[in-house]
Amino acid sequence: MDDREYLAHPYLRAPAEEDAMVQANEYALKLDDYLKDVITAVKDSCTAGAARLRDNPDAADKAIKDAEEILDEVMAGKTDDWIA
Amino acid sequence: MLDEKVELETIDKQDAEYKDLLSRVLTIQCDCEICGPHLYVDQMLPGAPTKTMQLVVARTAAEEIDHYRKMAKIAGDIGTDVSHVLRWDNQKRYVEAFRTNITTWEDFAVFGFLIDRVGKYQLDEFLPCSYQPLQRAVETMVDEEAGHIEFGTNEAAEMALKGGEQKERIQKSIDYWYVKGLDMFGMSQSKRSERFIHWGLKRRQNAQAREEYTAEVNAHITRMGLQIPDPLEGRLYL
Repeated sequence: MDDREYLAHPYLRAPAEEDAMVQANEYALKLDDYLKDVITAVKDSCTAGAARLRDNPDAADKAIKDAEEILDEVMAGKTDDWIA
Repeated sequence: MLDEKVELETIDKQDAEYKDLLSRVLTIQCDCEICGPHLYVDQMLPGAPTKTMQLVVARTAAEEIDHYRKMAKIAGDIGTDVSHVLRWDNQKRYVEAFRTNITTWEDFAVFGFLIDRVGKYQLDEFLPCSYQPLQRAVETMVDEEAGHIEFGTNEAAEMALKGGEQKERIQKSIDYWYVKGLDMFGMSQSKRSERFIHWGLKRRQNAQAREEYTAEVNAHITRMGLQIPDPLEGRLYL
């Protein structure tokens, strides 16, 4: 992306007032809590799956499936639903 | 160059340009972090060659989402909501290289080898960084990013070592991603890049970072017994 594209993009526009005070965005903070839980769940599934790879392949499959389902939900990007 | 250490509590004392540039760089960084999972989770998680590799894909995606989360939290604290990049499909990405999908294992490997390495260079820009929350977050991310790069590099090298069709496929993948990676550093003559450096939000010019990256990856490609692609063919940003 070159400088002109940066300037033109609506999500990258400059603040309206130069002296505007920063204020935390509540929506972003709620998503942070949701994503923390999601990340922990996927990592836990991966750890569980890796531990069962040799002795119980079915359990490993289940862990992979669990991780896949959680990640698919994140990829779907329905952020309003996550924090509803 | 600004050598002051800025915290969230003191950011209001900074110039409006500082806040604007910080917001911009965080938004782009968030897009770069979340785009990886959007490229490969759909097809590579079910389609990885072994269960172990499936777990690697899932773990890598979780770590990248966590990197997004850390950057998005810093953005949110200064009032910038970057959640639109979570909702975007790949064709809307800020960075052209991410407007695609990864459908083969060799592309997954080369993405780690070349594109995650660009990601590491981008993170290194913030070490050090005048905005301390950003520097502290990046310090927790670089080891994981290095792990993604190492995995991709090793996978790519192993496929190249097998020769024949495998080697041809990995060469084709490198030919595709190499120029995408070079483009990710942006225009060499970027005035915005100078402003980032002025405010201590980045430490290198785009051209310098790209030059260092090129030297690093070219050495790897040569060691793998592969051809270094033409660095100008198909480039969008010079």
